[in-house]
Amino acid sequence: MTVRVDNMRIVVCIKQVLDPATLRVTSRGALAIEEATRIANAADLCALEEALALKDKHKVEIVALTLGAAAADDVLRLALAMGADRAVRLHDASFMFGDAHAAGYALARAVTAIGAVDLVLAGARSLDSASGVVGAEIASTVGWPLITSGRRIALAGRRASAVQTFEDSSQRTTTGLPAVITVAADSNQPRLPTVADIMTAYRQAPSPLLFAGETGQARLQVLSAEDIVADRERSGAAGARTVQRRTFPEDAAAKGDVLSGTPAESAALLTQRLRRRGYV
Amino acid sequence: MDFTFSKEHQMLRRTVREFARRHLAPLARQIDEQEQIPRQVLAAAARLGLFGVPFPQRYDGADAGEIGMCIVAEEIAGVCSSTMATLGAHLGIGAMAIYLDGVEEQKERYLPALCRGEKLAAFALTEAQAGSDAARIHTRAERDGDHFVLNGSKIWITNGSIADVIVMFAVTDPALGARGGVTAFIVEASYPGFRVGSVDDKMGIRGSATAELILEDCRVPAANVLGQHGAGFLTAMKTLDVGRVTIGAAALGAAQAALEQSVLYAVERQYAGAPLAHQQWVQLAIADMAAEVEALRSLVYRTAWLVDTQQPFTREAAIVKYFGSEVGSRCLERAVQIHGNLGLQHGVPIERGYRDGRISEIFEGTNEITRIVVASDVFRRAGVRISP
Repeated sequence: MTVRVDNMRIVVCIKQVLDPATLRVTSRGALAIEEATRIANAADLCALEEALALKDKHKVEIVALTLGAAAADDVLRLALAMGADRAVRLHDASFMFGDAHAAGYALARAVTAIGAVDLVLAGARSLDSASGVVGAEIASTVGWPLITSGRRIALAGRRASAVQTFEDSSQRTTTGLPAVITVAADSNQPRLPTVADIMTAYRQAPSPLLFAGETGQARLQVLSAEDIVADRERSGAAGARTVQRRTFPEDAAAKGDVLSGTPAESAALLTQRLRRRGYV
Repeated sequence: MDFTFSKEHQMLRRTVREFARRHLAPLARQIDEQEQIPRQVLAAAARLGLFGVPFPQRYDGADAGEIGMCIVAEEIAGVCSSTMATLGAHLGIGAMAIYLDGVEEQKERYLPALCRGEKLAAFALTEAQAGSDAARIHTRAERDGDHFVLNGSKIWITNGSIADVIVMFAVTDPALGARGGVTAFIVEASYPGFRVGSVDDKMGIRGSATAELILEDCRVPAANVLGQHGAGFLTAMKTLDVGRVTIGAAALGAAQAALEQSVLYAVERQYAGAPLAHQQWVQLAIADMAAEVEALRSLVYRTAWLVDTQQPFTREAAIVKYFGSEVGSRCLERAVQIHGNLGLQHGVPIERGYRDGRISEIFEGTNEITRIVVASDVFRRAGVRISP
């Protein structure tokens, strides 16, 4: 039996990324960014679906949160159309050119500013930079426990749990609240917004004001560094702890290897190699 | 001039494409072979709001306009034309007639259930002796107190055997002919005297239900007269204008899908040691498909924009309908040729698309009738009234 949980606030972090399916590598090895379509990060939509599934069972308010320029409003409007109650976009010159650490800091400050947050959900990794640590950065900044790559999230009183899958086993991990849980891509099939909800989501004008904890405010808010009391030294480029030296395409040709000989010979060769690498 | 889709229409396209990928693509072959759309597919479409796309939200529609309707038609028809034909007859002409000419009471009574997909609509004009010559319909409606009694039969009615609400055209005053003598009625399938006759065994869109409808002393409340008494022919023509835009959009989706599948095949299939794409005749065919698809896309969405901005569009809708359906047929023809024998095998989407597309040159105004609509307008502007 499910015990209904009341008045819980869940923040879901959603990043706008370039759709890898539309991202072409030019003959000079550069990414044709302007040709690509911008979409919501797949794992983040799985995180949103987890939140929406909780909202189906409990009395939960979902706040979609993103960091980015005005174009990123699209992922928030998608979240609203799918069933999020409100959306917050962080935008400030000082947030620009950061890394996963700086992004985690800004998102954590926003979680604090939004206030009364019980659970933060985020995709386990993004389709573009794929650091896989933003969830952990948020958890360490706000000082909350973290469950990584969880799915089938459940709430019971002041505790949350999620199923974590490892190479040869899975387990349900439980934590007290507030907490951060990251959700891996493909851990569920995010619901589709209805046509009417899509049309409605775009009729909400963004509001620059924050009324933390209040109800009845604009559904889409844009917050600055000042609004969320973010330290400029810890934000964006100033707060980054990593440096991107260069980008390069993976050498796809090196991946395959054809073993010749009779089936028995090539099987023996394969076993030998797998043993040498410690796989068997 | 701005040719970009609004953000919401872009999201609508991505959503409907994903819906089609999840729910229709795995079942499109089964829908064709078993000659019906599984109930759970229609239920999923209803949950998404596909049964009320262009209608206002006060009737439980989605308020996505004719542009939204065309996006849906394009994405659905590219995967399953049977499903699109069912939706098209329901939305594009069935429910559309009620929306265009119904009084407020009728809209409030019928549109919400139709938009929610709880009920399905159809549009019944054609008869055995009245096809393109629709003014010659024989189905009679005679007043009897606060009812009309309808007698006659209709043929080739899309959704005929599965519709709950049918917009039915009948002669109320034989002396007056088409102008003044024909009235539209909202007929519920549950009314006594209404029954489904034979169900058609078609070459294409086999998953959509096309049937004969029989009216034997069918009693229809006078409150169900749709629009003005005697103005049924105008209602029919006005409704078909909108339906034709949607047909063009569906043909666009089918043509686009044929192009994409042909490109994929031409890249993968090796011919004489190189991809088929290196054959010049394939390149020419692909270029023609790409050019016609591009031209049709501009035409479809400009016309949908005319509809959404309340500008006249009768001539454009007729062009979209006949040009679009012919682009669809030509693209499928080329796609079959590129695929060779494979393109004619059961279960291959190109084969199904080839069979499914042909009806678009016939229903909702044959391509001859729609050409006459265009010619009449062209000559009217030149000061000459051509005889129909």
